[in-house]
Amino acid sequence: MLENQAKAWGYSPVRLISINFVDYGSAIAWRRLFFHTSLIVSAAAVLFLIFLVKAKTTTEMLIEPYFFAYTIFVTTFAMSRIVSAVLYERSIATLTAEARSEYGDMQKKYEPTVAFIIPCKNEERDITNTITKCFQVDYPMDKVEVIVVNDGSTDGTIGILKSLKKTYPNLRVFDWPENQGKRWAMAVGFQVSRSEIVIQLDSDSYVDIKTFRNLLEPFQNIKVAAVCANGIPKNADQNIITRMQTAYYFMSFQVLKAAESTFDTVFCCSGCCSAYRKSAVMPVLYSWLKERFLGKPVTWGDDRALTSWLIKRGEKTVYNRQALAYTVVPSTWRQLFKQQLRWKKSWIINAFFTSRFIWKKKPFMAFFYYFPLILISLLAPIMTFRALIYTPISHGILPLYHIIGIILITALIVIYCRFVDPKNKFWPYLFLWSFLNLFILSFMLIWAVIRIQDRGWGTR
Amino acid sequence: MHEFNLKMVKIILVVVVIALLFGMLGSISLLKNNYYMRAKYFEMQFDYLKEKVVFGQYYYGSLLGWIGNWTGARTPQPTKREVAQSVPILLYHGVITSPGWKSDGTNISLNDFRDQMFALKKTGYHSISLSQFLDFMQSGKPLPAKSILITFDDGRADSFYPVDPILRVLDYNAVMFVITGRSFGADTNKNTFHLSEDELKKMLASGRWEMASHTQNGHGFLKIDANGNQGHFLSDKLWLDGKSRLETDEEYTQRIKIDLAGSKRDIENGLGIKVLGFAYPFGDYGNDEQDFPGAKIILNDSINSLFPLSFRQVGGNEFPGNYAGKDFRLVKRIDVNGNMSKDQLLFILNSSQEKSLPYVDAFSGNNGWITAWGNSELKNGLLLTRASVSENSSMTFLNGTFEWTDYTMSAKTRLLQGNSFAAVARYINGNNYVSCDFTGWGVALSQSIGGMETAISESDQSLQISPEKDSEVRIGVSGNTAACYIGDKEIVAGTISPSLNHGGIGFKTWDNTVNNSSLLVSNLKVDSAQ
Repeated sequence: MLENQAKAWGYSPVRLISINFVDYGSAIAWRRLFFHTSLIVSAAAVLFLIFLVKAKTTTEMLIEPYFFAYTIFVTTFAMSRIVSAVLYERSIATLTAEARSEYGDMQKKYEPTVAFIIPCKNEERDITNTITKCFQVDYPMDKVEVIVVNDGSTDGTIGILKSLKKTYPNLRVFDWPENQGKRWAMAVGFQVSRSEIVIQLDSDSYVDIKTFRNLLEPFQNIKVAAVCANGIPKNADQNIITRMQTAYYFMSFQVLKAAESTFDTVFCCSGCCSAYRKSAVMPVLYSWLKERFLGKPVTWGDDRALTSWLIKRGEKTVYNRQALAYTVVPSTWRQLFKQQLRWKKSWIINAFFTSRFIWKKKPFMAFFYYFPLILISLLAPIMTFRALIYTPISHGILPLYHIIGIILITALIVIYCRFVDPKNKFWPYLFLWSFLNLFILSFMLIWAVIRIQDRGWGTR
Repeated sequence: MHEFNLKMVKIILVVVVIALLFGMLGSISLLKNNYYMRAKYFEMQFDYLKEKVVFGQYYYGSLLGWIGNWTGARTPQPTKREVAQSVPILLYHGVITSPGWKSDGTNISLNDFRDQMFALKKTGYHSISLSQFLDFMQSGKPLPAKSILITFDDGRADSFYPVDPILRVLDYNAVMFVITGRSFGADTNKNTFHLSEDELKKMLASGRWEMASHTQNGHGFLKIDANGNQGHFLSDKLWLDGKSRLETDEEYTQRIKIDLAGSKRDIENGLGIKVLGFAYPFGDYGNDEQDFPGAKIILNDSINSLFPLSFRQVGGNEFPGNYAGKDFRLVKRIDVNGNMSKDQLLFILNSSQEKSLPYVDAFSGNNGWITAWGNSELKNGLLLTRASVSENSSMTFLNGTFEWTDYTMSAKTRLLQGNSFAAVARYINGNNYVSCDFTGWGVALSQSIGGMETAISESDQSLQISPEKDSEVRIGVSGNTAACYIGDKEIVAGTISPSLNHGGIGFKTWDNTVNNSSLLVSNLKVDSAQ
């Protein structure tokens, strides 16, 4: 009734609270109920098995209390992420509902001016689609700006941009002969945009035109400075590498970012597609741009760094599950490892920065920052080495239970993922990702530390 | 409202995470110690189902029958019309599951154990409890025929885990003799070879197991002289290094009493049950002592004051079954190990069934002839008994004749080698029997009591002993008189000791030189006297 009325007034409410798993009102409700019940039962069984494995291995672990404490930490952290993620929907709903009620008039749509900033380099293949999608969003075009920075491309990107400008006269193109870096491109974008909300978009990514508004909804709450979109790899089905990453992205967004967003503190609004309130970014723009570490400028992790600066100012950074954006993930091992190395390095540098203020600004989140994130990430290579290499060699014990434990924790996360989005078919690959992470990526952190001064990008 | 919600969410998260953390730690400690969560327990459940299937196939031999067994149709009850005259006890140690294990004279492989148990069940044997056994021995309380008592020594884990599923399938129960010093007490936690107190409790709770004593720390070898020679804890005086001498009688008595009483207390306090039995380590009840002949009496007294029953291993010249009566406190167990085949075990048990008179033996099959010493075999309707390579004599007796009292045994005999042979009656064991000795120079009625042989009456009427000729001999016992016959003619007679007032039949050979006596027997007949 209310909906029809609202429709009559020309207002089509975007359903922020489309909670799939409570919608039992149709003929297939029984099937869904059965499915959810079986998920809950599986979760209980997995939890029980985790306890069983821990019980089986405590006698050995009590000889090594640190390792035992570490595994307890990891398990508790994983469970805390899932619990937080469960509470996410409520959090994001109240955030916007509050703003909405403050806004007052239900009739008025929230339509701020929006600018897309797309730094690009050698993107002749995908740039057309990216820009086209920007102009096709379900939004009044007079409120949309699109700014592209051609950052030292050596291919035909500029030619494509020029022809696109003919189709879309509103497209603003900046052509830089020499590559300055993404951070500079973004900074310039913020500077020259005339809009309230600035959306940073990777040149190989594009927004989903139908769910675009969701990216802006949280900004109704004045305290929100950044909104992270839900990144989905568009080349998911390409090969096993992309499938694994799709599963990882699924978990990273739907579990980890959602968990952080429950407390309005997403630590990294991912660079593939995130929206920022310009007025919140401008005060920190210069500091962010000029960031240095160990005598050198920081050339990657712009997204993470910018988010950190905003958090430092006490702003809220959230994630909206409904705001879809499509991105491209590396499809070769070489590309993947280079990207992961870059991410690890930026994580390290950012950790130095964030650790200094997080305990002051957001004490509650700080606890979940230091202990799980920092401690576990730093200890992971050491503990993994001990479990997978040292103990088997010195004691001849195979790390069977350690691996079983990893599988079980992944299973717990997978069950939650199945709950949240039953249609996603990539969940089995999360196990593969777990193993990749266990055997290779956790050790990459050490290599990242060693190679921290190498500020190159590596990929592309 | 969002801020309020945020606060709530934070509280919820903290509460849930702490609850999860404590739940995890709590569950871990619970599961760690919980018997039912042990991998072994699950294995046992699985084994139980497996054994059920195997037994069903074995017993019914067909798919239909197997299904019937699976759905719970009980195996047929043994006919209870007959009453047991004697109860044999089986002794096992460890049941080994590792493939390729070679028999070591103590333990038995799982396959052999299973074969034996299944065969016992199919033949109609059923197990009884220790208290039922005590009642039978002490007061003659009737038990159905084919009752057996199954026991395991040392309280080993491998006596339980592979065994229990089989017991469960067959509806059998067993007694575990526990070395309490290795199973009770805080410092036994690391010991996974022996069963822990917790495991024993769970065994008790299952209703299939009982516990009894196998000493506290007395199952070992200790120094008995200055040179380091070793003897048994219970039956030998130990060498005291500090004092450079052997123990005195008092020290010995004190030491064993402390251990025995300690073991009883351990079980009573730890498991809350009465201890009905004690099993001698190594089966040594003082008969195997090296430096203290008086051990037997002291042991006997000490143990009888603490335990209603004591268990030793049966000797080769004894009737394997245990008969109710005045000597009920020290009972015999058949040491079943990997060296004894299922058929051998069944032979011993089946032949222990008391035989009735009149009795005829054509020796076409072995009805229960046990070699006390020497060698014996049955072939072509003949019983052959002969001395081994290192001995002068041989003795064979018929199982299941322990309770015979007044009878006459006649048989055709042919002495192939040696000086003499004897027809034996009122055989109680290898040291207690009545015999008619037939030699080339005469016939003698003798009795052996406690191993001491004395002639009661002699005659110089000789038997024409020839390896080519059969002679018919006869021995008759009635009350406390005995007589020897050649053919129908009585040759000698006399009064025998009242201690030999019952017993069975047997045959004995003897010669001056070793490995030189052998006897063929055929056409055996035993009639009731009068």
